[in-house]
Amino acid sequence: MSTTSSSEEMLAQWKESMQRGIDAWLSVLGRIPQPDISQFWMPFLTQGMVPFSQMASQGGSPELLQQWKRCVDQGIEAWSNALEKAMATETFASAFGKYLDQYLDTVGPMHKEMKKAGEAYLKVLGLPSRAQIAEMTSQMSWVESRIEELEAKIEQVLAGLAAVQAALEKGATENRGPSS
Amino acid sequence: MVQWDAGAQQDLLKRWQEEIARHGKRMANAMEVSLRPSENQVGQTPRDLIYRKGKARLYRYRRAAEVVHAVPVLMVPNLGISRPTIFDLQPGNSFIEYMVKQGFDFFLLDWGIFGEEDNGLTVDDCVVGILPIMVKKLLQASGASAVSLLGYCMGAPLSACYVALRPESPVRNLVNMAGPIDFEHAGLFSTWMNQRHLDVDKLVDTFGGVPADLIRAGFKLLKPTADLSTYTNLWWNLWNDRYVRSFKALNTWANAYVPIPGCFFKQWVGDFYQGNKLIAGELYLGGRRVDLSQIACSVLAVGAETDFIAPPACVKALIDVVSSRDKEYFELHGGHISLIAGRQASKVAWPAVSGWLGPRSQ
Repeated sequence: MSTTSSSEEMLAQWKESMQRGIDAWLSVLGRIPQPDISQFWMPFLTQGMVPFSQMASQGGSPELLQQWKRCVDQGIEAWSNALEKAMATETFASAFGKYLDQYLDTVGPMHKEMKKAGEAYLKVLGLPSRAQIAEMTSQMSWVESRIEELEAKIEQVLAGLAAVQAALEKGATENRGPSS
Repeated sequence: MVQWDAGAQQDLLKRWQEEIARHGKRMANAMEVSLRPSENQVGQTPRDLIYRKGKARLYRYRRAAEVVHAVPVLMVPNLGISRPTIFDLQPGNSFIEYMVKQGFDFFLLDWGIFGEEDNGLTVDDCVVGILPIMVKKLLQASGASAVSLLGYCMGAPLSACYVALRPESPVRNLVNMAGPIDFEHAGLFSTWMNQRHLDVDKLVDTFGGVPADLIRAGFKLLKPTADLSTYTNLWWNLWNDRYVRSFKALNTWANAYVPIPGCFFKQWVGDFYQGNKLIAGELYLGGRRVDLSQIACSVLAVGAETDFIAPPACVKALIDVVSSRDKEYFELHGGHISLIAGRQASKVAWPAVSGWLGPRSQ
């Protein structure tokens, strides 16, 4: 069936793209020096030990939970700062760009096929396609713009008439002059 | 071994009792939040639809107090990305409600939710087409002769472009809240979207526009630990009903991403992020050059210290290029959202903006 074979093709394409994506990541990671993970975890552990040793000397108290929360917050902040530094590098930006490129190369044809299949399905059901609805919407926008232009012209004409009327009234008042 | 006296023991016992009670409340609220993580009732400040153009809507908020400021305010939010419900989360936590109570005649421009049919929308259409008509309709509806433009995030550079292209327009005041102007200092986004790394044409040609899911992924990547921190804080404060209500309202907004039209995104990334043409005076909209030095009205720029979407340097840049004599820059604690929602915003940012606008709105 053509539907089965196209879905198999899509699955094969997806598998291939996943493999290519993994290969691309591995090759990028291979080119950059691997971070020392202990540098990443050490500040978190060190910061955590200080409140824990305080807790041990003070004995049990609900302050335990406050201090635990502070420990977690500091750990999350340490992570966040480390990640931010890593993501601000050109290396990360380049790797991310390549990954996005790969993703678009994979998703692009799939997206196109799905769109075609969707349009065909809508056609079979006798429903308007997205393109037809988009066309209708743009026609409505065009009509709206024309109405706005007409409104603007009418306002100009009304403003002109108001100015003429004001001038006529002023002239009439001046002609009548002071009443005797 | 620590020696305890009776008083300390009583105090400790009381604190444990409180903590246990809180823990019980946490469990109860945890169930509620898991079943209903979002609040449907956001954007509750009463308003009326004044005008619509395409997907864009102009809303006027009904007066809660006597209007004491003659110059109405038009809020211009970001286009796409997220809904403007962040400005009106819930009663008591709403920037719009606050401004209306301060006596401002408040209008909001809602750009709308975009679909495939909107992929032809450009920055020119927004600045040269939609904004002018909205300002005109606002002045007609309010009977005022001048308006204050309050741009938030992306809305700020769009508003600045409008004022720069039309120095004769009736804009009395321009407020930039967390809006990027100098994109060289726009943080991680300017690094990632550099033309060496991002092929924006390919992205837009693949999808037609920028899907909401892709936008969500981009913003999550900006701060990968944000969700961890959010849910840790949620667990910690689950006993607090008020906190839970605020969380649910914010969660509703935070999960409602909006696609960006394709042509708009191409221009936004190409001209603003990659080319940094706005600050350089090389941006052309509607066939005319956008020269920020043409802005002569009163200008306020508000930046946030730890804003990683629009860092302070890129917001403050507006002050350095406008020719206004009355111009000011505030930098407040917090991040991008903390200027517009939350307890800190209501205590610091909102009064700062309202206090600056008030005397200039007579």
